[in-house]
Amino acid sequence: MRRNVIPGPGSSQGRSPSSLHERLRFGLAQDFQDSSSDVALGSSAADLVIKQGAKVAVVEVKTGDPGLPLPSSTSAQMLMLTYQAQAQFPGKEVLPVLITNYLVSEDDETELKQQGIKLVRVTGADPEYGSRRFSNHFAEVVGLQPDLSDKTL
Amino acid sequence: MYCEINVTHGKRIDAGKLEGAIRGPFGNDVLVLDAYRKSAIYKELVPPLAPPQAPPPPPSLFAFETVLNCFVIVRRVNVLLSTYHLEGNTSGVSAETLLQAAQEFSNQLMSVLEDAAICRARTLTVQLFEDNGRETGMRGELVTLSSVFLEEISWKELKSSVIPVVTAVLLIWLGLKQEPIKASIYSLLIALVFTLTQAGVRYWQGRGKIKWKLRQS
Repeated sequence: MRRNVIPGPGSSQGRSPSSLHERLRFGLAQDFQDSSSDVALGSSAADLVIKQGAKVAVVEVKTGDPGLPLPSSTSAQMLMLTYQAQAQFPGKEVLPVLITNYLVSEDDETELKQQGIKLVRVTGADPEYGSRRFSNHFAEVVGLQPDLSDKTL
Repeated sequence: MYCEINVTHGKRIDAGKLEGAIRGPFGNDVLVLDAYRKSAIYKELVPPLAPPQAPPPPPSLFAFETVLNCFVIVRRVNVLLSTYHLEGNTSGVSAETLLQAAQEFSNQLMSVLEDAAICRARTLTVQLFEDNGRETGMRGELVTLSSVFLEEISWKELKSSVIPVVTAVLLIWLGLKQEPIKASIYSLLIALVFTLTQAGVRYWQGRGKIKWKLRQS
C-alpha cells in the first residue's frame, strides 16, 4: 500500500494539483516511497523529504517567474535546510536538492555545487511534471531509485 | 520577512562602478557582517551562530541603513543584474512597512542610477520572502511605459471597443441597420454573450482560489 499519496498541507484536496510547485511535489511524492510532504525542519520546512536506505533527500521546490534570476538567498536557505536535516536525521547522508524554474547563472550553479546542493532544472518545454520522465530525471541527478512499479502511465 | 530587489541594467556593469555610483548617495554604512547578523535568513550562517562546517559568509559589496527602520545588503552584481536584500532591523517591522520601504528604496535607487549614467536601470522587480527563504508569492514590478502599454492593449481594455465593432458587423450582415428595435436587442445580446463568456473563463481560471488585494494607500 502506498503511503505517500495523501496531499500534504497546501496541496489541492479532491482534484489534481494546480500550480507548477504542487504538480512537481505531488508527482515526486507519488513516485517515491517513503516520501513526506511539507516536513518541518527546525525553523525551516522542506517541500519533500525522501528516505531511501542511508540517504535522505531534502527537496526544495522553488518556482516563480522563469524570467527572473534564482533568488540570491537560495543557497543560504538550502544550507539551513541541510543543517537542520542533518540534526533531525543523524547518521544519514543528507542530499539537499533544489528544483527550480528560475534562471540559474553559472555563478549560482557553481555556488550550489560547492555546497553539495543538487540542482534539478525545470523548463517550460517539459511536457508534464510529475510524470515518470521527470521522476527518472530527478532520480538520476540525485542518485535515488524511483518506485514506479505500480504506477499507471 | 525580507525583500529581494533585482535591477536589470541597460549595459554591462561591474561591481566597482556600481559601488562608486550608489555608496555615497545612500550613506549610513553598516558592516556587512553586522547586517548579516541581523538578517533572519543569513544570521545562522555567520559567526557566532554559524555551525563549524558552515562556509564563509555570502559574498556581498556593502550594506547600509535605509528608510523605515530597514537595512539593505548589496548582494550580487552579475553582468547586467544587481541584487539588493532589504529587511527590517527588527522582527517588529511588518510586511506592509517592508513593502513601503521597498517602494521608497526603489525610487531612491532608480534616481541614483539615473544620475550615474554608466549603470542606468532598465527593469526593477521586487519579491517578498518568508524568514526561512520561502517565496510568499508577492512580487512587484516597476511601472514602465511598456508595462502600461501591454496592460492597455489587454482584452480588459479592448473589450469596450471590440463589442461595438462585432455588433456593427453583425447588424450589417443581417441587414438590420434600418430596424432600430431589433438592432438594439441584437446589440444587447452580443454584449451579454461577451460578458457571460468572459465571466465563465474567469471563473474557470480562478475557481477555488481566494482573491487577495493589497492595500497600497
